Amino acid sequence: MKLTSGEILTKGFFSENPLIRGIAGLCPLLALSATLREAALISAALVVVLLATNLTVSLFRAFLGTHYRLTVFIVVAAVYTALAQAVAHALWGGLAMRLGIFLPLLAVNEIVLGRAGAFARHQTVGHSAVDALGMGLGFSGLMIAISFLRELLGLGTVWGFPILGEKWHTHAATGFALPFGAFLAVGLGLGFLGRVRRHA
Amino acid sequence: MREIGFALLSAGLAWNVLTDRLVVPGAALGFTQEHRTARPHFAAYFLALLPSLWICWVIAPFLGFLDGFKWILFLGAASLVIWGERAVSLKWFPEQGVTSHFSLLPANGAFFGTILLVLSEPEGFLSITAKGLGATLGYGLILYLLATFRGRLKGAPIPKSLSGLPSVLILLGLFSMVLMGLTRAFRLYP
Repeated sequence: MKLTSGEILTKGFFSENPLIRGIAGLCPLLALSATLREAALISAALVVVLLATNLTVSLFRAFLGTHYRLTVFIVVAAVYTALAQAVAHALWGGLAMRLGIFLPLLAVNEIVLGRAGAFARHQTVGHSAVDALGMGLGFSGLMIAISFLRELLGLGTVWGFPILGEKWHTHAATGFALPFGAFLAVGLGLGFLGRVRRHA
Repeated sequence: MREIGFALLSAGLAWNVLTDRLVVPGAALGFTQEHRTARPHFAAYFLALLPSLWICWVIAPFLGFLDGFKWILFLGAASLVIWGERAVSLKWFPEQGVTSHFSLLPANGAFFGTILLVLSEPEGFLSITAKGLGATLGYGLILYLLATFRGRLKGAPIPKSLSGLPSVLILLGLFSMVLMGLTRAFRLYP
């Protein structure tokens, strides 16, 4: 089946969103969705790494053998992750420190490796770039939505600014800022989106 | 001795890589549909983690010049260990089903994440071994629980929207809640 560029771009948002569809790439979504700022930085880094990796793999697809393909993808992704890490630390030092191990973990992120293996390996450079943008923006949208809800309910703030007031911290919903809140928020959110997708 | 035991327990339960540090790879969700697939996955994970951790611990002091980018060589060293063990399993134990799990291990975030978490501060050999072993067993514990619970949830009247991945995530949330409560009650949290 031949897809146009527009179809490749839009399918990443929803119908084939890597998070709603499959079980790929949940790790940054769970771990960094507690506050909006961290979510925004990791989403930006993921879009950059995904785009650069897809472009590189597509560009050199004629030279890729079948053996040790995964290792090649990891090496490519690691190089771009290191670059993204350097830029993030130079521009937003304090925020990048709080991402901790999750910035390096982009090098083994399943969305990056999965799209490189399933799509960019067979497709032209232009289509791979469009696919990476679609998937990356689909991921970012979900990440921003869930982190907005989690930060608002868990900490009572949005982008660090207090919205719900001091009294909120005595409320039971503050569990959304804790690890189990991440699982519950993402689980219920994906359930809701899956329902919407089935009825759409 | 007391510190070693504490490190082992707290690595397995208090900062469990899946439920507390939230490094949840697709493999931990994909292979826990039943015990039959979870077992070889954990076997590969268990066999590769400690050797990788030791090699990374040995090379870490020489990588001071890399500063925040040590993880690149850690990733390389861990991949080499996994390749080696995959070759061994392919040659001598081809029918165990572990080989294919070794091939997927380099892309496992929890595997690499455990190495980064344990080596985040310089420590002695016994200490990192205890932490690495505890973290591995904690990963195995969650895999075992997930496989058991998912087996029992088969055919249960779950709402259609929540069946599949959402129900597994809610299950993990419950494990996380239980472990968090227990480890803080017993003061296992560092």
